[in-house]
Amino acid sequence: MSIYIIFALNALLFASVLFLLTAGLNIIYGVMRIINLAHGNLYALGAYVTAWVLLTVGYQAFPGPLLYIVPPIIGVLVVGLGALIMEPTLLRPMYKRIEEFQLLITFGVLLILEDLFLLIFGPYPLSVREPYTFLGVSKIGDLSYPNYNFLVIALGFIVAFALWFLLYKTKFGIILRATSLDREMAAAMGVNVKSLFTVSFVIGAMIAGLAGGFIVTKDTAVLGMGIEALVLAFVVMVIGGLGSMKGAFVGALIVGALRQIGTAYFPEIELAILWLIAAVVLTIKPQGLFGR
Amino acid sequence: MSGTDRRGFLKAVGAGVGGLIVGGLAGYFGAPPKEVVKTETVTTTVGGAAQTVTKTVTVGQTARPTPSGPIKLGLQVFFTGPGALLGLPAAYGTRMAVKEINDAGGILARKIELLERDEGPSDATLREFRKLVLEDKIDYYTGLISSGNTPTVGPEAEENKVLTLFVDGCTDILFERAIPNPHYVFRITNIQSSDAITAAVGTMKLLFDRGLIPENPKITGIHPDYAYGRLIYDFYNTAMKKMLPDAEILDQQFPGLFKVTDFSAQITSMIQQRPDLAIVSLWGGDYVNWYKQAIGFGLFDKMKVVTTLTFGGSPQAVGKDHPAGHVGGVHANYWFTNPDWTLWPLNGKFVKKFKDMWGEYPSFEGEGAYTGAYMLKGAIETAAQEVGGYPDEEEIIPILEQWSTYGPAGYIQVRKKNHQCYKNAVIGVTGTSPEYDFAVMSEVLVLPIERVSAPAEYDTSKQWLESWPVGFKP
Repeated sequence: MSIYIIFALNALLFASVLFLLTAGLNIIYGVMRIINLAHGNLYALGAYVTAWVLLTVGYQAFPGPLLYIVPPIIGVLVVGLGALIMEPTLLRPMYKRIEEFQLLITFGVLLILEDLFLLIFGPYPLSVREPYTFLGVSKIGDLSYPNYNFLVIALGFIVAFALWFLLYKTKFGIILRATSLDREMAAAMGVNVKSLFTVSFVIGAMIAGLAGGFIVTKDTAVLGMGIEALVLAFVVMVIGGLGSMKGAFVGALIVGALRQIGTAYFPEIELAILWLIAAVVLTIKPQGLFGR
Repeated sequence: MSGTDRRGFLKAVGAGVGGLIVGGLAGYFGAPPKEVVKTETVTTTVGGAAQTVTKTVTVGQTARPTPSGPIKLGLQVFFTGPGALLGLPAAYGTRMAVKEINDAGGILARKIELLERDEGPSDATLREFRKLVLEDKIDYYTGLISSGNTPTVGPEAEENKVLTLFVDGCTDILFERAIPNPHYVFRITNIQSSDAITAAVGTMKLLFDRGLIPENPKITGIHPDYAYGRLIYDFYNTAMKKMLPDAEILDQQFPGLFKVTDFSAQITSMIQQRPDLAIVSLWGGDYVNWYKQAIGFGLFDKMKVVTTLTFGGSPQAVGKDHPAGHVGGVHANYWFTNPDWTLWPLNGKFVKKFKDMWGEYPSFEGEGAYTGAYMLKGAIETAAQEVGGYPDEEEIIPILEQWSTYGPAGYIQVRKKNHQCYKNAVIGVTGTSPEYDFAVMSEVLVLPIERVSAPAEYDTSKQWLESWPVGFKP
């Protein structure tokens, strides 16, 4: 029995990470209609900076709960700053051009960031373990489950709730959704679309950075992590529907659950499972589960 | 065709008569220039032991002038992406050897110019290789990390007649199927099947013989889903089943290489199988992620773990939190504390130089690349003695084919049949040491390479493995 509880927790853990990755991508796509290929390495940047802070300053510098707050927040802020520079300088000149330009620019940033990681942080994985091990493990039957994973699961739900609140319960959210539906009409109503784009891009990037900051203590900061994360996020985005936050949430849960089942019972086709789900959803509902 | 004939001739007459060949060929191809023939005695190193050979060399106008300009050595390894974890140490090894050789005057007074290119997916790697050959006109080529790339580049190197020393990319397929009769291509690191069999023999010596696993172990595992992981899965489990016929091989996991960072699902599934033993061939960032998460799930307390590449990246890549008392591999090649620095000072000196130059301890890739560069130098210089001038590839190859030498890792020899190098295989017990702030081998097991690799009379390593009688323990 206990193994099934752990299976369920694993599914939630994976879903939580996928949601955090996809949520930012969806905000950016929903508002700006940009597929931000650099998103994966903005996530990796959050991971690298957080790990670097913990390794250079030392975990002792952050007593108590600060260990779980300050280093990831530094990571998030660096990513936010990067996004703040990237949007007006690289993306803004591309809005009026055909989409291929945006894809090329964001893909270029993805590659540049990858080599910057190699240049700055070196080729070896940056591994920090204290925040992960300090929380210990929970006993579920005769099995162990790392408590840190509960934190990551919780983070996914907290960010989902915060985004729902921001989008549906605040004036900013209404403006954001209105701009997403009809950019020209929103501009005609006096919305400063330019700054709204910047803010959306920075928020989307910071969620990715947050995911990276929290994931790095459980995993490692390693070259290539951003590119793989990007691919996964796209799968979830396609399943859930482009630009749909609800789609990201449900899509992440579906992928998380089916991946765990696949790994446990059909390990040979674990990799194929993600694509099979996407193929089935696209065949039945080409716009994704909650796409417009 | 003429190359083969000449090679056959050399094989028959022996490497000590190169001067005669030069004279003979000169006579064959045209009017012989005025020659001064004299007999001299030179000492040359053949077969690892110094021996004195008396030979006839032609000097005077037929002594070939050394080509002007530097020797262009192409180096291709992963400088970017997750593979840089193995690629950079290899580049460090080559660069260090090249610097030492150049500082000492080069090879036959020619400096080496290193032309470095990135390794990537097969198509991109091949494109860069062709550019090195056709545009940069390299003299020799070294490098390559991935087993996906050597079978692609190998045939091209043969076709373009480029003397090639692969550092890694150690798949058995290269010399079994891609180029079954290699002429220009050689490879330095131990063959991949030896890696799997070393892990299996290590399991027996370090776990079974000590009563740490039963006679009928249930074996699970996790491997990267590409040529390497599939081979380790196949060879390791086959070897274990031969040695312990009552072993039960369970379903094993195959996540994509560098495609998974969260291994929770795989780890839980492995625990669910309630095995006695797990064989793990993940490497680099994948291994670090896996072991860290596996600790959290208590996997190391529930089974013994045997790996092929715990210590395969840079030694400092695996932290001190790595559980002790399991079996960790180095791709069956080299671990920097072995051979003992006092007994084998060459290793101690190498490690110190490497650490001073690069700020890290050498991995098996670094050692292999370094030794490979010196092998090339040695073979060129020996061939030069034989032919009385700067040798071409056809004159270096017969020398390399019977080359044996020693490097920081100990003795290494080339097998003429498949152009593969062989050196003693290494695996060990995971642990810590107060001297190092990373996980180390607390006990090193060195296996004579002939015990863990197929003898030359077998066409494939698998044939040899399958020929083991049940219960055979090499």
